[in-house]
Amino acid sequence: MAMDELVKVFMEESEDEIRELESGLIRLEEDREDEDTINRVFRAAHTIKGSAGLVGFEAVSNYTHSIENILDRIRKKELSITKKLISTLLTSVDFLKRMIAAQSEGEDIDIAEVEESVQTLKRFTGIAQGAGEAPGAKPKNGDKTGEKVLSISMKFRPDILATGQDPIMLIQELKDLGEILESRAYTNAIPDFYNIVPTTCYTTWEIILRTTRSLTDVNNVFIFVVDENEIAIVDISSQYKEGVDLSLAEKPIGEILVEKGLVREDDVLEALKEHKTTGQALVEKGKVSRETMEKMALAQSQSRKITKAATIRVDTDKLDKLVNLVGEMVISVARMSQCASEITESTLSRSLQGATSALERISRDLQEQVMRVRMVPVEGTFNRFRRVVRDLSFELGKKIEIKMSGTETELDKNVIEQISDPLKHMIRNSIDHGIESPEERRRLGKPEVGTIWLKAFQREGNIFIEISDDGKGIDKKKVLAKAIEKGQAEPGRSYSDKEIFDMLFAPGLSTAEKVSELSGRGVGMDVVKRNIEELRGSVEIMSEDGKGSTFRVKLPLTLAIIDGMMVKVGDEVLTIPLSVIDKSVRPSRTEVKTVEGKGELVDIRGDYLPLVRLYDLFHLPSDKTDPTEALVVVLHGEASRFGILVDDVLGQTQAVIKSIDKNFKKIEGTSGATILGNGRVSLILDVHSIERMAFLEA
Amino acid sequence: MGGTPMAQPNDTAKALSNQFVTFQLGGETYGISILKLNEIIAYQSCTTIPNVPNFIKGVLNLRGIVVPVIDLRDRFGMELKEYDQFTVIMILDVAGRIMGLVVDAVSDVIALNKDDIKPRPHFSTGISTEFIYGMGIKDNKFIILLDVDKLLSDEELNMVDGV
Repeated sequence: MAMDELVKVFMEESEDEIRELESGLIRLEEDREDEDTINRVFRAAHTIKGSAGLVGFEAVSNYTHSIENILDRIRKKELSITKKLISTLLTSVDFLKRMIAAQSEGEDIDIAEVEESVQTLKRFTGIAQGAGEAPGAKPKNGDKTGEKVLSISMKFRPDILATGQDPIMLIQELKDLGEILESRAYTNAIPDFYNIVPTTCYTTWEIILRTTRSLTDVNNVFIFVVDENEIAIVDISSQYKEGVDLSLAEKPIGEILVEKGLVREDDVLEALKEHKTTGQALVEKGKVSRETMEKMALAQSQSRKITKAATIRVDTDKLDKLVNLVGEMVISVARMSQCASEITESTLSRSLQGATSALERISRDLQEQVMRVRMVPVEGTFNRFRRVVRDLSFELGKKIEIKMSGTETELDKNVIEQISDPLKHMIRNSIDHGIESPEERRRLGKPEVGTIWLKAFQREGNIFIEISDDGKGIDKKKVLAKAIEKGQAEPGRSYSDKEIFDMLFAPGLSTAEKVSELSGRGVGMDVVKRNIEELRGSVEIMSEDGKGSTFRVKLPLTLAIIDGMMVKVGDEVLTIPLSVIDKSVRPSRTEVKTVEGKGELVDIRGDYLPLVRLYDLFHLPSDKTDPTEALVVVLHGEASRFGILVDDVLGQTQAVIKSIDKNFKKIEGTSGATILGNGRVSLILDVHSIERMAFLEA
Repeated sequence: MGGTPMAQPNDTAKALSNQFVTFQLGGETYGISILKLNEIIAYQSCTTIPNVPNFIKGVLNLRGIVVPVIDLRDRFGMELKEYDQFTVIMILDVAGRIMGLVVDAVSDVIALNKDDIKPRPHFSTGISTEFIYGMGIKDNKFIILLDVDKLLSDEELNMVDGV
C-alpha cells in the first residue's frame, strides 16, 4: 500500500477513534464506574497511538501516549474521575485532532504548544512516566504501564523455507521482545508421513506475547515476510485475562477447553451426548473445575461482546457513481416500457409489457437499496452534540442533561453532513436562551437539571429531527417588540404564535438580554433556516411559556430523488417538485383579473393569488398565452402562494436529480435537472427562486 | 460520473499532445487538441435553459450527465446555419467540466509539429482572437487552433442573465 493511501486510512480510522474517545469520556463523566467505557476509551487512544506510529506521525503517537497514560491510571483506579480531569482530557483530544489534521497536511506542529499540553496532562499522571507503578497500586495481569499483550498468528506460504526464512527464527526473535505467554502450533495440515515434502512448511502458529516494546518493533520482526505471508498482530491487552484470547468468541466452549489442553476431546464428546450445555456437563462430571469453566465462559462472553458488526469503508465517490448508474437504468427501463406500450402487435406487446414491468419493479428496488447504502444513522452526529451540551452548560453554569431517542434513524450522508451545523446552532440556542440557571429553576419549582431532548424519527417519507428543552420557552412579547423595533413587524397588528416564532428566523433578530459568546448575536437562525431549506427541508418552532420550546426540522429522506409533476411550457417539459404544489386549475375568464393593466391575479376559491407566466419568466416560446386555455398550477413559496401558468400538466414522475452547475452554472429558477423517459433533460423548478425572480426583481 | 480524463501513459500523451481534431465552421477549418475531446455525437435537440445567452443551445443528457451545449457559430457571431446530417456535437472535457460544442462537421485528426504552429495573428479590428491559441499550417492549409480552456471558462458563459 502506498504511503498516502495508508495515511488516508489512518485519517478515516482516527476520526472514528477520536469520536469514540470523545463520546466515551463524556459518558464516563456521567457514569464514573463504567469499566466497559473506560476500556473502550483506552482502546481508542491505544489504537490511535499505534496507527499514528505506523504511518510515521511520531508526534501524534507520542502525544497520544500521554493521554493513554492517564487513561491507564483511570483504568487501574489510581486516578478518580473528576470534571476537571475529563475537561483536561477533552481539551487534549481537541488538541490531538488539530495535530492529526496538521500532520496530514504536512504542516508543522508548534513544539512548545505540544510540550505545554503534555505538561498539563502530566499533572494527572502523578509520577513521571517510566518510573514504574504508583505505590500501593495493585498491578493486574498484563496491565502494567506500557505493557501490552499481542496475539500473533502466523500462516506462512508453504515454500517459505525455500525463501531463506525460517519461522523458528521469527519466533526466537519474538521471544527476545518479551515473554511468550502461550504458543500454539497448528499441525493439522501435515499430511501422512509418506506424503510429507520436507521443504514445505505445513504448520501455522499462534503466539501470545507480552511485551513492553512498541507495536512497530514487533512488526519489524516480520518485515521480510509480511508481504507474502499471512501475519496478523492483534493487541489484545484489554481483553487478555488469564491467558484467554479473543478468538474464543466463535468457538464452542468444549473446543476451547480441548484446545487449551484442559480436558480431553473424548470427554467433551461424551458430555455432548447428554442434553446439557457442554460446560455444565463437564463440570458435573468433575472433568474440569467450575472455576476454570466460569473463567473460560467469561472470557468467551467478553470476547463476543467486542466482535463488531462487519462493515467496509466505501468511497462516497464510488457510491455516487453507483447511484447515478442505477438512476440511468431506471430511466432506460422507463423508456423501454414506453416503447413496449407503443407496439401495436398485441401478443408481443403484452408479453413485452409484462417483462418490462417486472424489470421496472426490480430496478426501483435496486435503486432504493442503493440509496439506502448512502444512509447513515444520526447517532454519530447526535453523540457529537453531547460534547456541545457538556461544554456549554459548564461554561454557562447551567445543569443540563441531554436525552436522545431514535438515534438509529437513518439519513443520507450528505444531508447529515450539512445538517450538523444548523442543529448545533439550535442546541446552543436552547442551552443559552432556553434552559434557566439552576437557581432560577429551583425558584420555579423545576428540577435543577434541565433537559434537552434530541429526537429523530421518520414519518410520511420525511425525516424529522426535534430539539426540545424544558426551559422557559420563547418570550413572544419580547420577540414581537424586537421585530417591531427592527421594522420587521407592524405595531398594533396582532400576530399568531406561529407568525411570531417565524420572526425568529428573520435576519438580525435576537432577544438574548446580553450578547454571549455562543448565541444572541442575531446571526444564525436565519442561516439555520436557509441551510435547512437548501436541503429541501423546513423548520418550525413550537414553544410554551415556562415549559420549554421545540425546534422541529423536517428533511426529505434523500436528496437524490424527488416526486415531481411534469408540466409543459412551449416545447419544453419542466418538473415541479410535488411538495410545493397545492393544486392546478383552469381559470375561467372572470377569475383572471389584472391590476394596473400589468399585474395579474387569479381567483382561486376566493383567494386572489398573483399569476406568474412561466413562459414569460423563462423566455420560452409558447402559444398558450390565454390563461383560460392553459393551466394554473398553484405553488406555495416561502412568503406566499402564487400561481404559475403552464401549457399543460403531463403527469407525475419520480425525478432523479442531476446537477447542472457541475458542468455549467446554477440556473436561476431551477434547482437542477432530471432526465425524462424519452432521454431528454427536464429542468426542475425551484419555487423559492421563482418567487424571487417574479416578485422581488420586478 | 463519466468524463474520465483520458488517462494515457506519459509517452503516449506526448505523442497525442500534438494531435488536433479539425472541424469545419462556416468554411473555415478549426482545430482543438485531441486530449480535450471526449467524444463526438450526432446533433440532437437540447433542452432550452431560461435566461442565458443565445449561443448556449441548452443542455442535453449524455448518459445521465447533464451537459451544456454551445453553438460555436453563434458564439463567434457567425451567420447561423440549419443543422443538417453533418452537424455534430463535440463533447469536451476541460478539468472535469464537460461541455458540448456544436460545429458544422468534423474533418480529420492531424499531427502538427511545433514548427507548424504559428502564434496567433493580430487583426486590425472587430475580430476577437481571445480563444485562438495559434495557427496551424499543414499542406498549405490554415487551421485555426482553439484554446478550449479559454472557450469553456468564458466569462460570458458564466454570466447570469446574459439576455
